[in-house]
This record gives sequence, C-alpha cells and structure tokens, in this order.
Amino acid sequence: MRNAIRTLAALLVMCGGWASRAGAQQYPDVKVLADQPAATLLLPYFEVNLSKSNGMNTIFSISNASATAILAHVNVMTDESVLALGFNIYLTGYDVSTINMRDVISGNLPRTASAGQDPGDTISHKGPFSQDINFASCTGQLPLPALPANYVTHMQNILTGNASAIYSGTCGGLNYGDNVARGYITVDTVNNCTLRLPGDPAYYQNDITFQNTLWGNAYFLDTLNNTSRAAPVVHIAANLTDPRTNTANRYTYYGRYNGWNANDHRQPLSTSYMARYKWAAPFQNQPSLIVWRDPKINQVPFACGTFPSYSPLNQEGIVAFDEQEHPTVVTGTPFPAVTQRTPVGTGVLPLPSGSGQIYLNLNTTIIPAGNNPTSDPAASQAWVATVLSGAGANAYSAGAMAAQMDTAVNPSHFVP
Amino acid sequence: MRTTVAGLAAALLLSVVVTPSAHAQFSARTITNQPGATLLLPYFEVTLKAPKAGAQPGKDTYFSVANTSATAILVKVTVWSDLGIPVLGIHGYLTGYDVQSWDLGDIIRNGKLPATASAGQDPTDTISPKGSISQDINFASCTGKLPTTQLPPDVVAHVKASLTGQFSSVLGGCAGLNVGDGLARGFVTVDTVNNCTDRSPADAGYFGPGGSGDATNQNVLYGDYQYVDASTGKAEGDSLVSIKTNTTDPNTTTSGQYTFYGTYDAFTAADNRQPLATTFAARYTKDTTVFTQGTSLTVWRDQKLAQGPFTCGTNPAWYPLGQEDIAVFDELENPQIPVVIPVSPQPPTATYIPFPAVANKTLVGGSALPVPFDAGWLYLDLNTTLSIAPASGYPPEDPAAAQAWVTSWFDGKSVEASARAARFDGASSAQHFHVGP
Repeated sequence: MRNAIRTLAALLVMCGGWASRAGAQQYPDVKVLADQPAATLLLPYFEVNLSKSNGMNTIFSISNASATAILAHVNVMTDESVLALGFNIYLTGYDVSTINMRDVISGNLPRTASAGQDPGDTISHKGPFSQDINFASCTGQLPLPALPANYVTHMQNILTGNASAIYSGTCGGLNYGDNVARGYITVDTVNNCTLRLPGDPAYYQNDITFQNTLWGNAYFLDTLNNTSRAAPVVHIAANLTDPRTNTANRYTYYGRYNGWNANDHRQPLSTSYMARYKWAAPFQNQPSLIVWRDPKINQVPFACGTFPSYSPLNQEGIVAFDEQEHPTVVTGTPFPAVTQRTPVGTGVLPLPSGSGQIYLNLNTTIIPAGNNPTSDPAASQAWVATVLSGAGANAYSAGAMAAQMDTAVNPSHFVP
Repeated sequence: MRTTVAGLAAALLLSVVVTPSAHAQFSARTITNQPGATLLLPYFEVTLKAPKAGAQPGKDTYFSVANTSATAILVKVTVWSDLGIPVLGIHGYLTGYDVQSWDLGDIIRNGKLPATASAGQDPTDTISPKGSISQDINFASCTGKLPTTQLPPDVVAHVKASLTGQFSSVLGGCAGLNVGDGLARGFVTVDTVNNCTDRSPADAGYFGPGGSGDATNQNVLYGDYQYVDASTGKAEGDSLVSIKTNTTDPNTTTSGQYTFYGTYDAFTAADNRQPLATTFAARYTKDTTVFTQGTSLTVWRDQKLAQGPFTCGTNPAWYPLGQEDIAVFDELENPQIPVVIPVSPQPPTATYIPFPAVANKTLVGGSALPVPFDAGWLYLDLNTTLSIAPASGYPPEDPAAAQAWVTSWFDGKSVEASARAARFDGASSAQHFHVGP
C-alpha cells in the first residue's frame, strides 16, 4: 500500500489532470461505439423474474473513470420505452455503484449522497485520490428513500405490461403473462439532481453534461437454473466538436427526445449487424438475440390492450445464413418492441437450421416520427447481442456482441 | 429460402459489388466490434488429458469466425504460445457469408481440423458448400493443403509440448511457460490472406504495405469465443477482438507508428492494422453468494520483440513484462497502489508482476495480484519499455507504449460471467498517467 499521500487538494488537481487525459473530457471518435468511458451508458435489456426470488435477475455497475465527482441520472424504461422510474446517484471520484434491479423494483434504491448531504462521509465514501463535492440541488433528495408501496406496485406493473395506477391505469410495456419485468436503462452524467423526464427537451438543454467518464458492466444471474453471463453496458460518448454530433437534424442518440437538434451531442448506435447463432454442442439450448431499437419518438403510457403508435417496429431486411451459407429471408417483425430477447430458430424468428449467422438491417421509417432525422429518415439505431446456452448438467450461458456493420451517422441500407 | 432473382452469376456479382464491408476503411483510433481483417482470441486454455470413459472433458476453448461479405476469403489461423511464439498455422477457406467453428481442444488434443476447401479442391462443392448468394472461388495455392482434417502425430506432439512449456523437437526448444498443470495455453490470431501461405505473421513477407504481402486488408471478419468446462458445467464467452486495417489513416500507414503487428514488421506499419489500447479499467468482485470463486483477468500483451524458441528452463530476454501503473480501488474508492518499476524485464526484486507473459490468466487476489478488497476495480496502465535493443526503441513514436487487451471473468461455484475492461486510449496515442502522488 502506498502511503505517501499529499494534501487532498494536490491530489485532486493531479487526478483531475489525469481525468482529462484518460478520457473524462476528451472527445472520442463518434463514428462507432467502443468500450471507452462515456457520458451515457445503455443497458439494452434487463429481466427480473418477479415470481421467483432466485430466478433471473440483472445487476449492473456504474463506475466513474475520473477523479472528479459526478452526478448521474438513471432512467429505467419499459420494453416499449415508457419511463418507469428515474432517479439520481452520486459518485465520488473513482467510485463504483452496483445496482441490483430486483432491489430497485422492490423499492430499495442505491443510497448515495454528495458532500452536502453526507457531511460525515458515511454514505458515499471517498478515497484519498477521489473528489467529493456538494451538489446542493440534491439536498432533500439524496440519499434516496425507500419507495412507497404504491410506487413499488407501479414499477412491477409497468415493467410487466400491466396497468399502472400512477399512470392513471394505462400501460407501458408488453404483457408476456410471465411476471418477468423487462426493459432497458440509460445512465447520463448530469449537473444537478434533476427530476425531468427523458422526453423533456429541457433535460438536454439544462441538465445533462458531456463528461465521458462512465463505464460499467451488467450481470445476468439466474441461480434457479445455475446460469449467468455478463457484458459491458453500451458506452455512448459525447462529442462537442464533431459536426456529426453537433449539427441539427443529424442522428444523435437522444434525437428522439430533443427534436433532433443534436444538443445531446451523443453518438448514435449502429443500424446493421451480423450475429452468430449456434444451437449445437456445446450449446444445445436455443440461442437468442437481445435487440434494442430506437422508436424515434417520445413514447408515453398508452391504453392497456393497445400498442404504441410506432409498434411494431419493422426493418429493411433480415437474412439468415446457415453454416452452408444457404440464405433465408426473414419476414414479419421479429423485433417489434424497443427491447426484447428473441429466441432464434423458432417462433417469430423461424429458421431451417439451428446454427449460422444472421444479417440484421434494422433501419426503418417510423410514421409517427415524421421525416426524422431529416439527414436520413429511414435510419434507425439499434443494438444487438447474442446469448448461447447449454443444456442439462451444462446449463451454462455465454454471450457476445454482434458485429456492427455501420453507424447511424452514416447508415448502410444494404441487405444481402 | 430465398431463390436467386436472376442467375447465380448475376447474384454473386451484385452481392460482391454492394456488400458494405468488404474493403471499408474504418477508424484506426479505437477498437470496436466492426468487422476486421484480423481477429484476436486473447487467451485460451485446453485440458490436454483425455477424460476417462464416461467422464466429462475438462477445459476447452471454442471460437467461430464469420465472413460478413459475399466474397469468398481465405484466413490464416495462427496458434501462439503464451510467450508469443507461433506454434501452429492452419488455413481456413470461407465462402461468402460463411461461418466456421473451431474447437481448440480437438485441434490440440487430437489434431483434428475442420475441413474447408476452395473451389479448386472442392469441385463438387461438398466440403465447403456455398449458398445461392455466396461466392466460391479457387485459391490454387491451397491445392495439396486443403482440405486438411488431421495433423500428423509428430505435429500434434509438437503442439502439445509447445503449449505446455515442454521441449518441442520441431522447434528445437521451448515456446511457452511450463506451469505443470496439464493445460495448454496461448492465444490465437486469424488474418485474411490471399494464398495458402506457409509463412506466419512473424515471418518477413507475410505483411506488405497496402496488403501486398500474404495478409490482405479485407475488413470482413468477426467472431466469438467460449470457454467451456464441462466438468464443472460452466461456460462464458465474448466476441473475438476485431482488428481493422486502414490504408489511408496516417496512424496505420506511417512507419514508426504503433500497429498491431508492428512487432513483426519492425514497426513499418506494413500490416496497416490498428493497435489495441494500453490502459484499462476492469471490475473485480468476490462475493459470498454468486461469484464466490472471485475474478480472474485474462490479459494479452505485446512483447514488442519477435520471439523465437528458447532453451528450455530459461525465459525470453523480455520476460517478465512489467507495467507503468496498477491501482486497486475498492467500492469506497480506497486505493492500493503497488510500487511498480515500469520496465521489462522486471528486476529480480520486483514483487508485483501480475501479467508477465503475452497471454495470461491471473486471479485477482491471488499471489500474483494480491488485493486487500473483496470488490472494486483495477486501473491498469500496461505500458512498458523494454530494456533490450532494438525493442527498447519500439515503437518509435512512443517506445514506452505497449498494447494489451483485458477481460474480467467472474467465477462462481456453478456460474461464470465475463466483461471486457473499459479502454482508456489507443496505443497510437498511449496514455502514461500514474494514479496518485
């Protein structure tokens, strides 16, 4: 253990310098996503089995790559992109916060607090190299309290496709009838304990920051079936100098919420992917694809029994190749929602062979989105990952990211 | 099934012309998961001992390589020892949109290779079948080399010995670390090539500017890999590291710049391949409920010096590799910063050498990487300067830079999970920041 510690002020200056050099304020290449610290994290899909406490759960971590203390805003969204819950967390320099989605849905939110709400440094501890500052706007909000019972009920309902009393009896997601909560999560660096909704343009005008300091991982644990897997969350970098992320009407990640004015300055995802699927030893169980998609509109709660106006999300083309390269054109809408885990080979994605690779051109024009983004109204960002799993005694699970064939900055509309 | 719209020739022509990725020029600055011209499997383990009848085999590593283009391609699969010596070269032919799986256990234990063959060696299209929109062409140089489905016994013996740190009669020396646990270790690269070359990436002529050597600059490959341990019922995987070429970016075309294969082309940038990162942030955890066995890191590193076989019982001159900085944080940001000496080989007095080889798997909290915490994250600045000429000046743009790749593997009693470490830079612009005072 190194014990030569100078004054905290000197350390903070030094570490702040590193933060800049290590990516905190740098502007990475916006063309394609890389696992570099970023201003927004996307957990593209989560599941929590609400019926069985040892069933599938999702845990993710948010880490601060810089010595500078930061505030982050977490939005838990349904699988149809309706906000279920938004809250703020505070991270001292080099902090890491682990968020257990089963706990969140049970109303137990992560306890963090900036210096003003934690004068004794007992809630959000800091190390000797870590900045710990006060966000005055968080007073009265952090540390987060346990949520009341009616809010817990709201989250459990809205994330399982049932009616939410908080949303006046309307719904926010698909109802699979299995009592599994599904959705996705975004995490943004912000400058205050904002409670603005993600669809509020003022959130992008006033609240978010462009600190490329966040990184994280996600873990999918199913102790009931002895399976687990992990993956990095998607790192979405901000860039204030690249014309592709500061020119109105270009595709940016949050374009759907800010009128495509690019003031989020966040790089978009890709639109076309190639993914390997394998339904053969040692992965005898059916593979699946995790697919997150952009509805390109701000989706609000909708009448139960109906679907959002963008639904089902279509695509320009999907072609699967078996291991002898025989192509199969996939028809229909196998990925209709904003986020989903879709079995490959049967059901909505039937294929004649269990193994091969699949080309996914997920671009689509969405009528409610109008002619947006005007740079290419047919462009539609997405994220794709594969899940392979074994069977019986070998009920393991493994995942991999799909290959990114382009970026929504300059989308490819090619279909094999 | 799609039927061909026009004749097969027309379909092939169309696909070959409009496929989006065949020769795309990608940014050289950051590693992304876009199709590349080289794939890296950063670390593998294979149990050499055959299981007893009825018993489950031990550790195995599988990987798949897919061709994202309609154009047929040839790849060179190189199996390297954990000290960076090429041990085995295999050719693979992929028709357009083909995908090929490789079982390293079957290759190393049994010498069995998957059969592939280009049109000239497969006139009836029974070995490497093609689909209706996939190109299938002849690589004449592969005649007599493809298909190969069985390695000769002496080659199998050489591979086993080389990957376990034993004497190889083929090499006339040793190639790897002798850990003595019956596990073959190393890493794998897969390059697009234009002929069934006998050269390896370590040989002159394999790379030429603009793809004029054996290796080509076709950014069409992606893949995945899985570690499977059937004896414990655990598996986990990740995408292969996709390394792209760029023939227009000064970072990958200027002599003296850091490129992925610079070690083997004297840093002339003849390989045109983007380098990896040098500095990472990796999570670790050991809890009492799920990941009870703790976290291991697989770490691939660049020794920056072409390494040949060496006398058994000794180590290469650059061994062990050092690093510029490691900082261990717990989840309350309390740091532990071991004192490191940022040169390789590390001096005998150095006590903190967690990643000494080219391909490593290191237990966080173990003797090589002791940490006082149960959970947190690691800052890893794996840059290092070699003290051996001429590598002490490599790469010329920044002799202290050293590319690497880091992945966390979280291990439970019956579950396992993995996550790539976050990358803070690219070796073409390496950071050298030291955490703390």
